Amino acid sequence: MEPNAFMYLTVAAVMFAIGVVGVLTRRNGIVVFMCVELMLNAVNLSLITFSKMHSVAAAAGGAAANVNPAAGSMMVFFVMCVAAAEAVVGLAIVISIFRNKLHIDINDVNIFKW
Amino acid sequence: MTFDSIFQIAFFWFFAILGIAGGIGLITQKNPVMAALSLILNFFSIAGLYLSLQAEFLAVIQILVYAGAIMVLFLFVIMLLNMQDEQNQQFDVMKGLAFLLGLGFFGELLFVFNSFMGKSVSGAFPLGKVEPIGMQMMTNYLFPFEMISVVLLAALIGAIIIAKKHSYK
Amino acid sequence: MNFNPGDIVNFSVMVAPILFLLAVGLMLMLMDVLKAHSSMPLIAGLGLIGAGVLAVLPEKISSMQAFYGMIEVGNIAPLNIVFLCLSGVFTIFFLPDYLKRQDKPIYEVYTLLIFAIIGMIMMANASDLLITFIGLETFSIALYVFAALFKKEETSNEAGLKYFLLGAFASAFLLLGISLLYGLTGYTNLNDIAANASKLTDNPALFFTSIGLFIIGFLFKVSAFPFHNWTPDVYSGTPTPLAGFMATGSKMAAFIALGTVLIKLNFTQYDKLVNVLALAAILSMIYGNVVAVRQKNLKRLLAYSSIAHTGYVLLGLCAGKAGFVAVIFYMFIYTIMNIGAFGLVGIAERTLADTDMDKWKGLGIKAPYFAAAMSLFLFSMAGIPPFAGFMSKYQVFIAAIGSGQILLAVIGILTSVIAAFYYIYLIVIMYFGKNESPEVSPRFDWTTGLGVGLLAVLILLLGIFPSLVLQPLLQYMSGSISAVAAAF
Repeated sequence: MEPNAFMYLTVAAVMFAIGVVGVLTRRNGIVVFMCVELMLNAVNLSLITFSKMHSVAAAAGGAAANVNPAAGSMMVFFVMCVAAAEAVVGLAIVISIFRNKLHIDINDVNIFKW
Repeated sequence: MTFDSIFQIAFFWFFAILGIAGGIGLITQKNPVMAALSLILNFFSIAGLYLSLQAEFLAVIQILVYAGAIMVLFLFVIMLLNMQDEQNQQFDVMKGLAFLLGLGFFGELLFVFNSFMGKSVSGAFPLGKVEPIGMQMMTNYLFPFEMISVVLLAALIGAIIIAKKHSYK
Repeated sequence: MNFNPGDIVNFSVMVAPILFLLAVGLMLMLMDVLKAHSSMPLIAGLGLIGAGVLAVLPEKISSMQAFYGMIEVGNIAPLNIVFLCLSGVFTIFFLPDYLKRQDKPIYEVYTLLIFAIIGMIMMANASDLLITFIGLETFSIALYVFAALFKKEETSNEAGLKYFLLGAFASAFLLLGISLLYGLTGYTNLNDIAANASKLTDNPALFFTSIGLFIIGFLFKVSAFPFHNWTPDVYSGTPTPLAGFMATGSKMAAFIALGTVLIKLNFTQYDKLVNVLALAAILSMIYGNVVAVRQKNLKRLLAYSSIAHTGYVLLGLCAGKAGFVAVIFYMFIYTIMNIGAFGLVGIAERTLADTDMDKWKGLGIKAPYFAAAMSLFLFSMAGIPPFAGFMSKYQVFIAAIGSGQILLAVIGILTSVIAAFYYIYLIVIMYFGKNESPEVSPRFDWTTGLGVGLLAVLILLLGIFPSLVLQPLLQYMSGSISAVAAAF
């Protein structure tokens, strides 16, 4: 069986779910942020799968050709750019916290009451 | 079954399993450095999956930007701050709940992805090459391409404000 | 490829406000380097006003996209730009004074403020989901930095980390929603998706999952009920005038973007979606108002009240097209009174040492102008006539009743009564509390005085003549949304 869209999407879904679990269970701020990066990558994988799927459908013609295959591939670029920008700001925040407290355990820095 | 299709299947499964293993490594490794390396493994295998979808240019960018630049930044910060292993890794109720939530979310996604069962993704993919992507970037996607510079500039200024040493208290 | 250099020039003229703001932002960076610090707020404010003028100068166009269907430049867009720019202008009235009082001369803030407003404009007027995402990230990144701005203070550190991690987490959900919508329809352009609406109903499970994830991302940004937890902590750690900006400008942009997407998808025909929004509205109103009653810290009180106000706006959103004017009107009024209230708290913060409510006892006698201005904003937030807050709540409730959401409107009115209790309690403390405040009392300098005066006049003016804003809103919208005129 040749890999079809569902199989790629399943891999993306597994990675996204792992990312969600990681964000909810890990306590180190940087690791939590890496889990968010994993989620973004899962979304990127799904976007490219959809892009390819629509591209194949558009090449086949017919009613399914009413799609824009470029949108998914292009979006992946912009998501990568945004992820890079977020990483810069996030790591700057982590460094500023570390300078004050020497750890970034997201449970221990909680000085507010919920 | 031809050699080509066997190769394709093997290629897909190899990178799919490697990628998921990398993801699991990320959330189970106590040491932040090991977690980051697991994530790099995951990013490489996602690049492999892009290759198997014939999105060659995106695969290259994935390795250059994600695995190459962003993860090096992460590793750099982790090592700069000399982070310790996470303590208190035992399984408690909250973690169990989080796991169930993730499982439920995965089930939901699998359920809605069911409609893509059997949709073919094999065939030519013109958008995998540099030229069509460049054409798109300079025509239909010119506006986001220009505006992404604002995001990058804002992030740059922001990082400088937060991370540089100021004279004030 | 349909590339034509003339197109690019035309399109650039259409998005002139954005390009102008970009130029202003770069100029502010340059001024920072050249040490022309004292005139930076002035330039930033004038730049924002200039962008607003540039937006409304051209003739009204019914609906038109620039850059190959990427961004809407007609319809309601010019007014969005004016409102978002005004939220920045109002913030700038309070920002320089606050930073000076806190001894933290961080002049890059003005550049980031301009960039945040560019992001908000992009997001509010996006006609492609890609632009929605990029706009969202542009202002989110600026707001993460605002939250972590006072890097030597642990409260600020934590606000930054919390807002950043949860914001990135929510963005991932939003992006997954966009991806699923793309998988379903084959487009990210909203007009194309609307033209292929039959594909949405072909696969309802996928459609509801995608739009649900999309709404989750937005509900986080507007701090609606199940995703509100970050709000009090982040607002209390953020520099006060910027917290006011965070609570108003970003929410206004998010609500306009969410409303545009939902209306383009014609969401009122799907009962499930309306019910989800209605549930979030009800819970936000009840939770925000009930918890706010217990708060002793003013910034936390304002944060919980902002959760409640989110509920009221969501209530208007449930009414569909007819409620969209009310939503924008509500957000504009809320921007005026909330930036005013946060600004006043910021002025008092340094003098009274913290933002504790008890410190405000007896301010009515010590600082009569200050207390009078605060009372005016609080009365307006409580929705007491003749202040503008009453008119905005009235519009939202009328829209909800008009679309048959009677229960929602009743809950809204009941929770407004709870809200009136804690707003008026603060006024009572200021005027009738035992005089425990220290000898020094909060004072206005000329910028903050001007700002408070302007906002107070706007509150009174719009409370008596709401049509000053409603009329242009309806006129700009009339091209596409004509049912609204009948509703009012």
